[in-house]
Amino acid sequence: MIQPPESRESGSVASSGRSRRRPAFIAGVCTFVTASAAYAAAVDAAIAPADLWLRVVGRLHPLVIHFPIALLLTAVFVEAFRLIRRKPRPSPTALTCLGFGVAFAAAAIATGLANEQFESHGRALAPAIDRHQLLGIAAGAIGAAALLLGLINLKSTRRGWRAAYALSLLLTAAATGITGHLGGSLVYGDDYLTSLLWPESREPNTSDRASEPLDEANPTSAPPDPASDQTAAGVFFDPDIVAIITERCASCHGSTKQRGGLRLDQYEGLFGDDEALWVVQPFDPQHSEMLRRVRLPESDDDAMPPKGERLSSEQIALIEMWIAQGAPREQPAPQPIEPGEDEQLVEADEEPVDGPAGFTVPAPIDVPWSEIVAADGARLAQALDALSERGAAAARIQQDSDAVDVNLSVAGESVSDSDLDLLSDLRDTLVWLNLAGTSITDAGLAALPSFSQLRRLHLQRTAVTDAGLVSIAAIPRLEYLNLYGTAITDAGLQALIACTTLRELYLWQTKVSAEGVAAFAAARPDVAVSSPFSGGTDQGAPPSADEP
Amino acid sequence: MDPRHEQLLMINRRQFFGRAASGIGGIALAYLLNPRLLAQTPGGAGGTLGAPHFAPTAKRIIYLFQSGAPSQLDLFDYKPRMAELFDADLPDSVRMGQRITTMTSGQSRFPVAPTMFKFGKHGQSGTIASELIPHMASIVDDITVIRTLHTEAINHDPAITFIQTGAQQPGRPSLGAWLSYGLGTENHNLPAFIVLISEGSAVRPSQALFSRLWGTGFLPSEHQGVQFRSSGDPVLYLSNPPGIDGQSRRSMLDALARLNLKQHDEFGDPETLARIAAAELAYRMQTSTPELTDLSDEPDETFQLYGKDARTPGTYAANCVLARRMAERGVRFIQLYHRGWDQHDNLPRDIRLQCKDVDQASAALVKDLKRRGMLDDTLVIWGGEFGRTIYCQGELSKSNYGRDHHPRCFTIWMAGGGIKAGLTYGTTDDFSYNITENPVHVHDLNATILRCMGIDHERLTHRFQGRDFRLTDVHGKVVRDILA
Repeated sequence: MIQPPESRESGSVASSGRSRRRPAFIAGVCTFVTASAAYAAAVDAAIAPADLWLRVVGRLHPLVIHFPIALLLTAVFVEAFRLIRRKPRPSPTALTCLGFGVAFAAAAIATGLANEQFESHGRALAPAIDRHQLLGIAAGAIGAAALLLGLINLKSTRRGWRAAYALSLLLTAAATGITGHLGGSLVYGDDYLTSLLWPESREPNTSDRASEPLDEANPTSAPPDPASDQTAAGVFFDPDIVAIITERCASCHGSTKQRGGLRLDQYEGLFGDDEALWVVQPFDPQHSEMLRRVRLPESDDDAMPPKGERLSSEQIALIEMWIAQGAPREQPAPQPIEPGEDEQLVEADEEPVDGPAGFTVPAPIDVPWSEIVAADGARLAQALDALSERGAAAARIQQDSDAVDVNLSVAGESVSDSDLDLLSDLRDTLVWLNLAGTSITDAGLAALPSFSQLRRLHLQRTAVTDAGLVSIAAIPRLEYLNLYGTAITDAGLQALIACTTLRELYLWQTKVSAEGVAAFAAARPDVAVSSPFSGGTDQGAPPSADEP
Repeated sequence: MDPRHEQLLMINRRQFFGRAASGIGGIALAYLLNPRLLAQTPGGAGGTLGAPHFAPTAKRIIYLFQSGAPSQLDLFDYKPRMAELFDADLPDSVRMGQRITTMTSGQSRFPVAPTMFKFGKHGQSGTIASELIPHMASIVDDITVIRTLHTEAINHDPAITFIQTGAQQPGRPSLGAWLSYGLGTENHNLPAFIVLISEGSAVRPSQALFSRLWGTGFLPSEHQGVQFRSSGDPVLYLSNPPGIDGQSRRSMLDALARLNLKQHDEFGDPETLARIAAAELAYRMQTSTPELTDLSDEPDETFQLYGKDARTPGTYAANCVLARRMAERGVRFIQLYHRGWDQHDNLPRDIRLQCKDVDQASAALVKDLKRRGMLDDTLVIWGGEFGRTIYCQGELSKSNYGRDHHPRCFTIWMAGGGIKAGLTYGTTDDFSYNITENPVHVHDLNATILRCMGIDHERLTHRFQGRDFRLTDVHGKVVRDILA
């Protein structure tokens, strides 16, 4: 491949090449060193709070990458052209381009690494990013090798060096091209090029490589706490939220594309390693980026979805409710109340005041409030603070007593069974409890028989069922029970007959029948029952729901 | 000022940057340590009492105020002997020279005007009520009728100011403000004290109401009543203007709160904190209020019970439904005002219209609360600022008459919240002019209301201008006879 006429020129080419290559070489080395130092600093600074600068440097990545791609490929094309013209020596132009190309490749690598440190990208994209990163570094390294071989070729005329130079250039071109393509896929989605030509490639079956390794295979990717909570509230990722996402978000944040590295159609996609970057912050709609984006007016650049109608206010409300409830994944399987469960709960309690069969011993109702004293005043105060923090109204019912009145109703539907844990230090002091309109279920109520002083219980407008009334009947001192607007039936009333301390019972807007109420009244004439079927001055049109 | 002295007071560039840096840095640091610092309502949540003095029998109050003073003689205080005395002069032995208003003091005579309406005994309790109020008559077994309330004022403004604030002169905190101050709020997303006003149907123009009636006087401003408007936005400027979303509003409020805190650091005015609290409450009310005031989720039964007026926003009936919804959400003091009860003339015509406005809805509220099991801990109060005279103002005929203001006795009723049911308390003389048994002064009423809420009226005080103030001033006895 060596041409004699060319070799004659070698001296002059070499000398002119040397004079041109020196600044290029120096520039390349300097930039590499600076960029490496910047990267080292970036990694160091990842712990420090203020690394604004490095984020900015990282965001230069999309800008910087154009230089190495153009320069390296130009070098390759120039050399390819010379190869066709059978010129033996490397072109000074190509070497200059290679020099700058390698320098900018170093900068691109450094900014890319910084970018990866700081920018949010879903778990779904991690493998694609790794590939892009590896190939990018390889492209830079091979480019540097090519530069070195090119410089050697200026001196030496040996065939081996020549071939190695050509090969290294070829590899540089390939690595640069593929890296660039992978980078583009990160931004525009895998099928950006092909989707117009082969639209069927969007089929879910041909799911892309990026999403393969995650899914169920990676158990740590699920957010541990909110999902495992027994949030019995109404809104769940599956099916409520997924429906909205599939309709409006998945075309850009789904299996085929993960714009901004975000994948929304899978629960795990929402919760990456860095909690601060979660677009959904369980229990905190206020700081959930997803909710903020869908609420922005259409004119805002950040508004999501960027095209088409805004989400409906119902959809937004649903998302907010879901997040406020802790962004639960799916409805937990219903927990049947085991017959022996109440006893276990009471036994687990350290001092079973009235024992598991507390209702068989008629409790003295007229304990003066001042005689209700908490075993541990500090824990009582803590419990009251925690309840207030949760949005409940919780206070002693009078100044010289530890008897406690807790109103969780004011915190509304967001209150679920798990919130009843907040009451655990009030077992011997809670006297009034208002859970009206909350999302508590029978499962949560199972703990109530261990509250030895509970007198008044408001359960109106809750999901309590007949099964839950079994545990309620076992509350040792219950006097007042409000079941307005619940789904309880005559069967539940039967269970309440056993609650010997009960004096007031509210049954409007329930599914009880006239016969059921009559049977209860016959068994318990001492209970004042308020229902459409009871006597008294509040007779009115019975609610339509009661019609059989 | 001496320029040299002025120079000393000036701040130079170096000092400015030094102070600015430490000031901003301090706020930022405090915020980092406790992000809730700026978001939290200062002093808004808990009351000053911490816990009530006594276990409360009422956790909230719905005060159905009938502004203008309904005639006790035509509604509850039945005086059958008056029929015989139609157009007879009121004996001086009854009036005993007591003052009367300038509207009738010029009249040459004071002819007795017996009611033209029929009365009946109702319920198991046999409580007497007139034909004007058939619905309220159906709840008599759940209420206590007090026929012997009396007041010191004889004109609307001082009387309504007196019954609401315990003083005839403006400037004292109102009952709701005292409760908010003492007990705090249950629901952090709503005010503890909400005011709803409805216009009466009476032809005669209504008496004015003033926002100071639900003001705080010298108590911190966050305890004042929040008036919900009857049409349009219930609370003005609550919804975000176009282009502002919740997040922007939040960051604006945070920044504003930081500025206000700086201001507070500088001047120490507690009203600055009240301002922050008000902004924070308004922010939370952006979500809580629309849900509260939207009656579309109420079933048809509600409107059957309260009457079809309840579908029209701003009516007394609609306000009663709202009051029940507020009670469910933990609003501590819900003050309704229904205007138009000032029947100086054409009483039969106007009182019919007024009763049509309020009768069904007032009774429905009690029934509804009872069905929901909430009458136990909700105190409902129905009544005006004083009574009306037995003697006629203006022309008297069998079918038309008018009545002047009468502070010496008037009738109110109370229900639930620890008040006895089916009781009629106190008696007046045959002319419903003077009290013969069991008088209840306005201070006694307020002391009793506080007692139901678990407060000793002598121990809920606020020091201002060197002395301790309280709702009942230096008076008031709890009326134990009416407590269940």
